[in-house]
Amino acid sequence: MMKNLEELTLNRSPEGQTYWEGLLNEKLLLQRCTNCHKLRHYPRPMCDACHSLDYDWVASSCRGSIYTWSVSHHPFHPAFQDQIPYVMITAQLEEPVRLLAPLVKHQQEEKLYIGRTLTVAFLKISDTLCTPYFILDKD
Amino acid sequence: MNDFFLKNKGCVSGIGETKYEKSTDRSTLALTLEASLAAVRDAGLSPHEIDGVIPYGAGGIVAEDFITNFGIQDLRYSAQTPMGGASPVAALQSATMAVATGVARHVLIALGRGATSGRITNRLAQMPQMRVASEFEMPLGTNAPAQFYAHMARRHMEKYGTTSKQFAEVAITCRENATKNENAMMRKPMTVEDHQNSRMIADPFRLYDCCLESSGAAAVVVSSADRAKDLRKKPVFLSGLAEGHPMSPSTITQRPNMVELGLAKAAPIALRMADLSLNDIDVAEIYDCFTYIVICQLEDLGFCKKGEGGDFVSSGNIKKNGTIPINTHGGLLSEAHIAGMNHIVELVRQLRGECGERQLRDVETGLVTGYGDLGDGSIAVMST
Repeated sequence: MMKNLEELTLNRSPEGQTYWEGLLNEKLLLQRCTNCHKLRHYPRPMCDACHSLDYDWVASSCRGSIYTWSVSHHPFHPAFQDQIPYVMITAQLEEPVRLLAPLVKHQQEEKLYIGRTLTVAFLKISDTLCTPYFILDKD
Repeated sequence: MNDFFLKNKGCVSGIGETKYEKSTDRSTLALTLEASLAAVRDAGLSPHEIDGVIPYGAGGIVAEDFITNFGIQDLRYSAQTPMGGASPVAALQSATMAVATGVARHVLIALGRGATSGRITNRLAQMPQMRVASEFEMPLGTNAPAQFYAHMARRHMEKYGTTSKQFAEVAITCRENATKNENAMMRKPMTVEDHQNSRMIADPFRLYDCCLESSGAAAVVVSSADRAKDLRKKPVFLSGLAEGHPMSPSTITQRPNMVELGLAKAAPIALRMADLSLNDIDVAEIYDCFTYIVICQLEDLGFCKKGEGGDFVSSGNIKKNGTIPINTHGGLLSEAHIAGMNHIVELVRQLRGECGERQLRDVETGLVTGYGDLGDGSIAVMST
């Protein structure tokens, strides 16, 4: 599984590198335009509002709510073969961006609905890879 | 030059297909050339007369392959329209631009899938348009179209009450049509029960919500309207053409409106260009990689309001005798997944009256849509 997963992490952009390093430190970093202060995600070079190429990073509150979700039953990729079935949530964060991440293993049977609140947590997989996942608040 | 300059400047003059099947040991190039040659001959042209080529952006086939194999002496135009399943219909617009401006006379658009095409997750990860999803979403466990699009479908269901049984209506309709198509891969009739009993792939998508994986190729020739009238077959006019891209095109996750596709922008432009309303459209070949994507496009085209697509399909509107028959060949769901090039071929056949047992009556105008790359859309309105 690890080998297959590492193959999926080879396409890192210069902007993305800081984001992935932030996850290793258990921080969900969002880009902020230093000119107009608009937050953006996923990481990229330019602000789409004022076209500034300058940005810094702010840590997300890691709080949000369900926007939509899916449950994967078919093992499309060998890296996730031993995980199926697994819930993947698109969450609206308190900040005006969304995050796609899996739901924690022990909550797979929980009732899912738009607006259900959740928190982002971090799973360290190796020295170079830490991925975000969600934990639902009590219903 | 006005906004609708392209109206009726180009025609589809030739169409070609290979046999569609589950797998093959033939190369993508061999299949693509076979379909291309059929399309060129259908138009009554010689391969040497092709002076423009638009190969599929993700198929590994390039314009050079046509110069080499067709022996084209002077290829004057080549392009790609890398929009996944929206590519073939978007290529109709690009080809029309070339023939309308005199850059080329006869532009070949070709698409094939053969033994060399590889598995879906690898194909996807290697597409430049998937770079963002590949960096930030694939390492988390979302790797295939079914998984990406499931998030849009679930949002639509929760927001508007759309149901899996309504998805089934799309799959059943395509299957019914495929039973009358000898080149369709799936010809055994399907019931709602069959659909509901099919295994879950990426909830809410069951197996029968997902298109086929196929081998085969299809191609069309676009000629300038004044040249097409002297060719072998009745010209089919390209009356309205447009492509449309959603906001946040590289990732569905960040899209402001997740239940609307690029087609919502393109459709009104193409219809205005053709100077037609939806009431004038006799048949619609709708890109159907997943059942939900058909429902969303019917809304984005304006056949019903946003959120009413589920009821629209379950009220019989899309059947052969409904208000707007769709996917008369069986679509990607039941004929074959030739990335929508087969939808273009089918629309031209319906407009020519060449569909045999599945021919609809009195077809004068029709539309074909393309959809791909997480949200891009394309549309062509055709008429005779």
